[in-house]
Amino acid sequence: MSATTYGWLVLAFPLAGFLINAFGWRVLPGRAAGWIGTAAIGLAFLNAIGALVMVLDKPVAGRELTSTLWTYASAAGLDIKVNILVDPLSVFMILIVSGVSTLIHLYSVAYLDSDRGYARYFAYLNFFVFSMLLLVLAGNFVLLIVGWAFVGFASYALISFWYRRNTATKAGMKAFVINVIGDVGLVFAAFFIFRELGSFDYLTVFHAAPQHFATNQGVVIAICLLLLVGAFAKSAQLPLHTWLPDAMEGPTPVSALIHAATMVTAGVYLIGRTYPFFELAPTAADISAFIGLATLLFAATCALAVTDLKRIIAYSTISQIGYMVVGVSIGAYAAGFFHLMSHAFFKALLFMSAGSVISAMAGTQDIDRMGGLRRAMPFTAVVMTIGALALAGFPGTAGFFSKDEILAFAAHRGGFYWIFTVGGYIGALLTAFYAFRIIFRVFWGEPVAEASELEHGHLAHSEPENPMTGETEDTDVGFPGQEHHIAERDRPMWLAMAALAFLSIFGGVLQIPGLDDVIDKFLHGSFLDSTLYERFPSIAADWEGLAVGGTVALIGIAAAYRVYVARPGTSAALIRRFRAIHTFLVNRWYFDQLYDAVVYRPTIAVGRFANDVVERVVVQGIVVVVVDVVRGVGVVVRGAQSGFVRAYALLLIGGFAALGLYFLIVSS
Amino acid sequence: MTFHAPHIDYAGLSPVIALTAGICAVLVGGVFSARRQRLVVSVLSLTTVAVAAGLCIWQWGEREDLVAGALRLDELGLAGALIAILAAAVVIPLSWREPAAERPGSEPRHGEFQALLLSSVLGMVLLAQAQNLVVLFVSLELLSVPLYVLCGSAVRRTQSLESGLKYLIVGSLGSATLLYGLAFIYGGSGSTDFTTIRDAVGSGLTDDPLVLIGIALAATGLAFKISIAPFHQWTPDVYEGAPTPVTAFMAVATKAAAFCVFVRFFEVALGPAVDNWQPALAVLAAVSIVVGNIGALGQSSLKRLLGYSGVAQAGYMLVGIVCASALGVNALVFYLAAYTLMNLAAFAVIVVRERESGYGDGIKAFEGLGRDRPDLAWPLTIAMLALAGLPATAGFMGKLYLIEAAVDADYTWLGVAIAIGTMISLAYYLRVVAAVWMRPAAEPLAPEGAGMPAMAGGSPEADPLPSLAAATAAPRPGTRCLAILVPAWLMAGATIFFGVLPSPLVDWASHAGGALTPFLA
Amino acid sequence: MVQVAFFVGAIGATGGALAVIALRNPFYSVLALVVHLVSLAGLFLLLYAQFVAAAQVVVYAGAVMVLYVFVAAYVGAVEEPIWEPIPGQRFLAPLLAVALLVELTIAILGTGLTALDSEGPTVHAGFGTPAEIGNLLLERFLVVFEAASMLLLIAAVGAVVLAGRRTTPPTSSASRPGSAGSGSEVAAGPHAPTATSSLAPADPPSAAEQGG
Repeated sequence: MSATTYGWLVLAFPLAGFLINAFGWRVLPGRAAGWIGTAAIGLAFLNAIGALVMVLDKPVAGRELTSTLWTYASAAGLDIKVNILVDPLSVFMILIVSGVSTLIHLYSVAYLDSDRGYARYFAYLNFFVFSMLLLVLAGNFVLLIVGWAFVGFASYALISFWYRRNTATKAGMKAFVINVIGDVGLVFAAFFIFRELGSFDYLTVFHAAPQHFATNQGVVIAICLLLLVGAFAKSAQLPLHTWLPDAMEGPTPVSALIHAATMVTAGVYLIGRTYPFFELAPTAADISAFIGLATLLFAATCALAVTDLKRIIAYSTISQIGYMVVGVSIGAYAAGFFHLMSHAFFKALLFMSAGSVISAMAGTQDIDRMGGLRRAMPFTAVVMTIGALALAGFPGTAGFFSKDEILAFAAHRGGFYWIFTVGGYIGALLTAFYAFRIIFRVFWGEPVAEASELEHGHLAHSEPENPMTGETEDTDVGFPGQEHHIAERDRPMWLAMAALAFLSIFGGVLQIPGLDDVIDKFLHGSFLDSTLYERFPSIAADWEGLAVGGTVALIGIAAAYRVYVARPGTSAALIRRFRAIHTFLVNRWYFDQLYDAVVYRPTIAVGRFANDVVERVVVQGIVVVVVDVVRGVGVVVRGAQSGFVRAYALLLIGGFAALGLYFLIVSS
Repeated sequence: MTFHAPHIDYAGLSPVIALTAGICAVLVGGVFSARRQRLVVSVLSLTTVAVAAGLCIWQWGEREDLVAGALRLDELGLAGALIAILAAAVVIPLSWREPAAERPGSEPRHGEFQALLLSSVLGMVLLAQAQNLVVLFVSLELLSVPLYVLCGSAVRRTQSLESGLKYLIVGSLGSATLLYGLAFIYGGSGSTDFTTIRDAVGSGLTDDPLVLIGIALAATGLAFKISIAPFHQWTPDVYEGAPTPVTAFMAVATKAAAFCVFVRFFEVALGPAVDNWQPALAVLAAVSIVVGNIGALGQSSLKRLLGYSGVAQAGYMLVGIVCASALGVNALVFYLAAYTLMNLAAFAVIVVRERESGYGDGIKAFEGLGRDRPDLAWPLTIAMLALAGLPATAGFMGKLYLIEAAVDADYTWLGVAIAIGTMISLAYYLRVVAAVWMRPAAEPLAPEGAGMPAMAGGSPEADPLPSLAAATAAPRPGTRCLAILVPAWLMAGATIFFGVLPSPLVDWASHAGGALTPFLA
Repeated sequence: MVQVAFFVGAIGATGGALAVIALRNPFYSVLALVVHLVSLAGLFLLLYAQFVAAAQVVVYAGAVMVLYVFVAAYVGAVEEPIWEPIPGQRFLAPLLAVALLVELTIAILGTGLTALDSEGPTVHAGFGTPAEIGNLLLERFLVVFEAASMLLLIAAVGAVVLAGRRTTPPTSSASRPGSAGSGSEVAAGPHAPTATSSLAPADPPSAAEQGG
């Protein structure tokens, strides 16, 4: 089979799983829906490996393979095909997406066991994976937009999965609205590309772009900025990030899959995929890189202060995507995607461990109420520490190699790009600190009541409550309730976490400076026309960067140890001392309030003004006129419909008289 | 005087011959099978329809003149024929329990009913292939006369009789207008053959008032058949009054055949005068779009609503003729096929609901359908969304192609008119969808009694009527019949299929456009 | 001589047609129609169409008109109001009729076809004979001929469907006169009783159309 056949199969299996679960939910017994969903994604992963093997079989210059299933619309200059592009980049992405998805499906099989919406959950989840793979494999902008919109919908559906939870439905709406802003940006970008280059097809467009545009021409910058709107909305970069922390209302595996490992990295993929435009518009690329830098620093500081376990990891996600955005924007494509991969591993792992902790705490997410869980759940403690080490960039882990490669590339590129290196290391310090803040606060210290109960073999049996509002959950709608499963006690969850822990540690061996450069070599096939791709720093420079990164990580971890373990009162003292800063951070730099004040309230005020003045006077006037016209025409149309045959005959003759008059005028 | 028999290509003529033979067989079968008439007759007519369709497909790709140039065998004509045949095949099961064909307390009339239906199809097949003025007129009558009778065939319902009469009278006026126009065109050009007319009109008659008035009259007559405003007024009344299967057939098949001959007549015979008729038809299309969409807004009867919607859709399709390009003809044929699929799905659901709810075809009959009968709610929803032109349906692709053809032919404002019309149409199509999914079911009503015969000589004594109580208690027949439900699902499924994967239908339609290429600019 | 015959025929045809719609008694209208049809037959003769003229007299003026007279006699004289009851119709109908006449006249007078002023074509000896027409029907218009025969057959079947008698004896006396209250909008009123009754006098002419 050819690589593209494997590509189509990669799409087909999740779609089939979705259809089976969506239509068979009434008849599927027990965990069947979960196993079907997992098997579908697993098969997709196997086919992704097949695609990888077939692509590797080709020479480096011939690894961009397209396949058209059918032509959707073809007339008068418009040519829209349903085609996929299988090239190293998309193969790389489908491997990550389907691989991580398989593990998270496996985890979900047990995690949502007692949920009433079990089959609905897996139908959504399979639909999400299908959409994400479609987004990644799309061979043209139209299909990309379809996948883009589908993942937005899947994300909305899964955030609001517990649909009677008020906070969940609101968070879903917020995510949807911001995603739609991104969709609009992407659609406009595609429109401009089509207008300028006359095609939607990736390869056609990318080959035509360098001849058509001058560097930094206004149109290219506009296209790139519009693409960035789409990318940043999906990847939760400043200033469109506010939806992601709220998206944690969804079930924890959803947070792991969609809001950490896969969907939110779609923006990075988009920038990488459309690199010819960004290389033609260096200004736009630089804007993108600076926004990425700002985001990574901003989100890291927020993660220092927030106390909700899942939201800390969410801010960490925003911050880590900032690194990737910096990477792909400055030309460190291979490093950026390498980091995307290792991030997918350790962030999914962190979320899964968090899920395990949250279920042990019967739904509590506040780390202030946790502590000393390491004896109660040793396995979770170990794997979560592994995740935190990888996140912090502890020497030898996956995160260590990938993050520092981006920063080394920035330093090597010269010019003002050293800013990214410096900013990145500051971010890395904060990252190491908050990563171990989680570990030390949750697993160390005095065991809380739930922890000691768990040590004695009891599950915590509190009424489940909404962590945001403190209201008691309505378990009838499917919120899992008391019987949440604890990761270490259920084989599928254990297996998924162990696999990811392994990958988080050893994922880095794919690319160790001086030893191997698997990813650099492999992804090169997708970036053949790039002028920046091969500007790799020297091996020595790489190792210097790694040394600095490793030191920074160790300092951060040591600081966290000192603050939270060695001298337990330090953190409270610091908060007292820097109350203003702490409040500022706890409120996440007041972004939500800012939007509330700058966007929401003025909109409401404008709306009220519009309602009071414009609406009453102007619009009502116009609307009344329009409605009256429509109504008037309606009255005429229906009035003429008198039911009298001779009246109909009259109109027929009248119509002919008018037509005849026209023809007589024409004839003279 | 010598007799020169014309050359007859029996292969090319085979669909027509099959249909004619089938009509005779159905008539005879109806007479000799009093007991199991429905089965015998339906098998006969479905076989006829299947054979005719098979022969049409067999002849696909042939292009030649048949029987001294009376008919033209090409893909355009065969496309129209296939659409008409498909409509008949779906409508035959729909008619099984109709009072029009199965009068309670009286002899069944399946033989006559289906023979009338098939002869209308015969008229359509001839009409779609006609390339002679006389053939055009006679086959138009052969199409219409059975429909007049079918509309009035539910003789116990006043509306049905009224509908039949109205259609007959206004239809006669339309036919007379058409005939008058054809006479003028014959007078001007001296020939009844399309190609000879084309040559004659091309050599200096394009601005002749006699020919142009003839074109105006002929356009009026044809526009009447396809319900173009302001010649549409019979449509809502007749659609509402006629038995629903007949309405379904009339709505799709008549349009398909009449549009085929409209295209052929205007693009081939009157092609040289294109600059003169193009603006007039463009205005008619725009008027239709406005009148149809606005007229549909306040309707509560679904059949009336679909009648007005048919006026608007005819306006969209007329744009394909206005373009006077191969692209326009392709778009038109594609839309005709899509329109057939969507409408048949909707009408099949209406037939079932009419029988089981007691609200007739009122929108109340469809409230709460999503909860009670999802097997009916889905086809109706898909049909409505497709008619409204939502993406991933054939209706969307059809409108897209029409708009593209309009823009390509420098009639951008007509493309805009289609878009605006589509937006208005959302208001009433979505009202139906909302009633289906978002309202609780209306209180079931007792089904209407068969009513008094409205025909002359009828009397309550002579006409046994089922008592009201018996009617409510008895299970309502024909509401879970797979022969109705399966076609409804198939049509709805095809609507989605060709919306997602339009290329087979596009290729099919572009053959039809290709058949006229020598005559198009 | 030919001119005289033409004007007699033309005046007879036009006057007869006018009388059909102007006379109030349907019986007289039918008689006026006979005058019209016979005058038309005369005009056909002038055009060398002997067979068509004969068919016109025999079939239309003869057979069909007899049916009309029977119907008029059976139904009786229906007193129609002298003024049109629909307000717009009263003025618009004559107006449009005049507009139609003017347009058609302009079209015919304005045409550039020169043959209209001439004596007409010279025709060969056998023109218009039954043999010639028969040849045409079996050669050029074979399809039309067959289609027309199907049309007549189906018209007959249709008549049977509409007028078919009921065979079963009465079993129930429950009667629900009137028709279903359809859900159509009030303004349309397609089933207003006046609408139905207004159809009645229009029926016979349309039957002629069908019978032709």
